[in-house]
Amino acid sequence: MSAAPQVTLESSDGEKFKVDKEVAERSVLIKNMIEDVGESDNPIPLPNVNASVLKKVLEYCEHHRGDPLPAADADPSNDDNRKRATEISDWDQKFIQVDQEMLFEIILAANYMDIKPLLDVGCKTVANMIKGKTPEEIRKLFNIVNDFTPEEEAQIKKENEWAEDR
Amino acid sequence: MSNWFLRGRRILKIMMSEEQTPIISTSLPLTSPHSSRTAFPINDLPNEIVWRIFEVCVGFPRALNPLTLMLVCKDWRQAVLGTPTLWTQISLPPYIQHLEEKVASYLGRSKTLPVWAIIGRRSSIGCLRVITLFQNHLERIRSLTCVVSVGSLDVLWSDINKMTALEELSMEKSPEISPTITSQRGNNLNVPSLKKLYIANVDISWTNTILPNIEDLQLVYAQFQGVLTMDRLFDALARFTTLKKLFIGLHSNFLLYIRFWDENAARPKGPTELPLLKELKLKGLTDRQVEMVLREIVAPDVESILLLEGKNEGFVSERWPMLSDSFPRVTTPQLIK
Repeated sequence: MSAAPQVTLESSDGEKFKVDKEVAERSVLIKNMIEDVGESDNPIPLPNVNASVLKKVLEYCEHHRGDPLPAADADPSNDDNRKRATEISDWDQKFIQVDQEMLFEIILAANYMDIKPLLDVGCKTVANMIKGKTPEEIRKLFNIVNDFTPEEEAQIKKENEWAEDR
Repeated sequence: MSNWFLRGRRILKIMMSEEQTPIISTSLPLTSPHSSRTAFPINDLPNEIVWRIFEVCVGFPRALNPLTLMLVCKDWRQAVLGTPTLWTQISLPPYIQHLEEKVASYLGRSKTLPVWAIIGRRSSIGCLRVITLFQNHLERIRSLTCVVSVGSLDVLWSDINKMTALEELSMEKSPEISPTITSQRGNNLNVPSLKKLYIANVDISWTNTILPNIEDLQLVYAQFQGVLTMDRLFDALARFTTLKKLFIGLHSNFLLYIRFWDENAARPKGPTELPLLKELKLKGLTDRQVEMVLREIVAPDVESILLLEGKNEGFVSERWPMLSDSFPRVTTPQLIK
């Protein structure tokens, strides 16, 4: 039996990763590049992704190599899709248990490499971190500076007091 | 090429919402895009990603008030105001204080997007008041969930027929009223866009129902003039050729209110063909009634039959042998005694 075709990816810091083409093609960006350029021994450069992040991304792609690809036109308003909005599989939850900087790097890489399921996992993880927190707790979590004056904050609350009706 | 491609990093841009001025006082200064920069890069994410995160935060099932996000910092306030999808789920519990403001704000901030309206239990007058607030936006309602009183039904039916984009309708009559008392003027439901209909203890005039695209029909104590007349229901089902899921549920205490054709004969109009039906659930019917229902449904592709509070497993296996345990593709009918 012949070996699975492989491609080489090169991170922004020059590290090379040889992976099965099927794994690399979880990235729509890479899939399109291979289709456009054709198969080649030259490494595919990923100038926006460093080696530590790329390693993580490839770990995700390897685990999900056999998964059906998401439909490009999936309707987000579909009830089932909406219900799935916050669900993350057990494996993905463990995979994404990284420090916040790495989490955001993975999200950016998934966005750049066009790996929608990974991007979704990242966004859901950040959303789950936000849920149930007060504005002050969210600021603390993400080290965001409160740039409202107390008067402005009170004014926003007053002008949106209807939003408290839940 | 994907729209995600080559976006790269950029600072969260301020969304200049058209409604910003009337909603947020002009005395507030415009924000600087760097005003709430963090040591941590959440505000360095592309706009689309931040919006997606916010959508999950306030999404379904609803978990976070958009106001919480707005109060984090000026950048986030602007992003929340400029993201119409955050304002498409309009939940109106029974006793809210700022009903008009809430509906107007959500309808305004969601721009022209479809909306999901959830109307909590109300009196007839209260229900009318809510629907009036949606009058100029009825065609935007994609999903309507409401718990209604008997009198509210007559108010609602005609407006529901004006919701030309309605795909999901869930109507439940207030639980404090006996299930045997229903509106006496159940109207003709005529919503060609409807795909999912859940009704509990609500009258439907099945004879005149027009639902050419219905895929998922759930009836719980669904009656007509106090009685669920199965013959009328089957007349309607025969027109619902797009149906994929069907659930008929009754409470065993109210079996007197279900009316069948002569149990010793086939249904006079013959079996009902549901060519796309995949899933059938029956609850609260007697063995005999289940048998009568199953004999009159022709559904060659059915994959799952779930019998709740019944004892008909043997009959199901005989009628649809593919549903036996030896056929792993399908959900084996479950028996809950």
